[in-house]
Amino acid sequence: MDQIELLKRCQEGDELAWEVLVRREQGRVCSIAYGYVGDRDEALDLAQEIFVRLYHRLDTCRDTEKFHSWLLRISRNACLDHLRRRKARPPRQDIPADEMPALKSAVPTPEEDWIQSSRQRLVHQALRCLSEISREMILLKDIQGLPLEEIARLLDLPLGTIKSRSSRARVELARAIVDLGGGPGGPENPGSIGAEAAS
Amino acid sequence: MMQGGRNDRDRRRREEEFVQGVLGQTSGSACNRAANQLPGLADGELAALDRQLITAHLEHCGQCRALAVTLGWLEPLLPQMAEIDPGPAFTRRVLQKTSLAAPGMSAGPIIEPGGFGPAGWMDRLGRWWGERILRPIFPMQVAYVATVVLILLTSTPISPLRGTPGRVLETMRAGSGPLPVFGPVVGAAGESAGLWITQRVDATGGHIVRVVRGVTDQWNRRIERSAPARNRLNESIRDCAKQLRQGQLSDAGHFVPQIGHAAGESWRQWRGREASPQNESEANVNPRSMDRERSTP
Repeated sequence: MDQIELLKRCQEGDELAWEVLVRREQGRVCSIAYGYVGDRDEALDLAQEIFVRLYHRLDTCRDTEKFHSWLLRISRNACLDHLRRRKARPPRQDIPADEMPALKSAVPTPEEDWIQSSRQRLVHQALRCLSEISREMILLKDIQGLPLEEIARLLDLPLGTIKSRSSRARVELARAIVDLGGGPGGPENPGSIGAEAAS
Repeated sequence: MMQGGRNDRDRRRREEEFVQGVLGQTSGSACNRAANQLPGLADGELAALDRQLITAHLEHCGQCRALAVTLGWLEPLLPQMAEIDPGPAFTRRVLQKTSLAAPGMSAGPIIEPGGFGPAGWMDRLGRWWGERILRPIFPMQVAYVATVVLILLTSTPISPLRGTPGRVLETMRAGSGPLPVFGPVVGAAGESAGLWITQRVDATGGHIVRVVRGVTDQWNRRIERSAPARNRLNESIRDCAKQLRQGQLSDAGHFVPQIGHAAGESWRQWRGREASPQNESEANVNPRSMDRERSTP
């Protein structure tokens, strides 16, 4: 079904259309929420909150052709609100897993269960090592595929700044992956660096 | 053959050491500049000369080569992460939360025809409030709005409370009024509000006017009705303060119950209840006479 038509039906109060819209967009919204908060349960709760917010603001989406930009904007605002609230709460005193090797379990964590691909897990792990702005750039541009002009409008920054930040963020991510010992040169893909470099 | 290969590696290592030595004493390492240009190389946006330069650098720099290869590795991987499957339970929870359960799912509230969703203005207000109250900045915003409202109430020309703070201050400085603190404040504010309301009443007329007039009349009646009790309270406080100034703490303490009685009576009269004879007699008892009664065998 056409996205514009679907959105119009939702705005008219068609509950079936809303269900289809939720099913269609839930993966994207969950991915955005997870990218911002980095925790599976928190991301699911946040994604629900985003959908509730979206539902009550459907009639404010005037330009139905730009629905995805609008959805991204709402999701981003909800995520930032959530992070702000989380900052206001006292931090949890978690022990880093790396410091407690005895506690490491062979049973996969919910995150490992959720994100099947080890490559994607590695990228998520590397994303957590980046600065907030770099992580957001990767999320919006490279993962969600938002055009640079749209990101500039969303973040209210000049296009040139967005371009340079995007490039820097990609290099930071690549460096984080190399530092984590993963990527094409990691244990899963030994020798591929040399091969690709030679080609 | 093996000897030739080893010689070749040694020669390259010596060349590399020489180049690094020269770079170390001149421009420094070019790796930072290379890293900045790597995304452009991956996107094919570099000019031909830049492309040749960075390719030459990559042939000799293992770290930058690893970065370049990782960037290429990431390029097809990142768009695949745009969606994560949260499972079927998630959809059901969202639909329940938005009160729009699809057929076969657990039913939500009935949807009102014509509008999108069951939310009325009370629900919207509740949601709005729920979102705001969770924000850490909210108390600051409330304080700011309250300050602006107070300034508007006491400073704008059409405000009924215009000039009230100044008049309250004057009255307090003059030391007159039925109560030491609350009396002037309530009196001045009430007087200003009453004047404003009366003007509006005369100007507009009609049903609202009668209601407003009724409220002001009741306000005035309450002030009048509670005046004797407030006077007694005022006297008791004054006597107590006098004893305190003279350092007679025990005598001042005797006035405390009397102040309590007078305050209670004042409140009851303000609310419209008549003083009970027992309370009245208790309130009028002089603490000193009570002392005398206690000391008499």
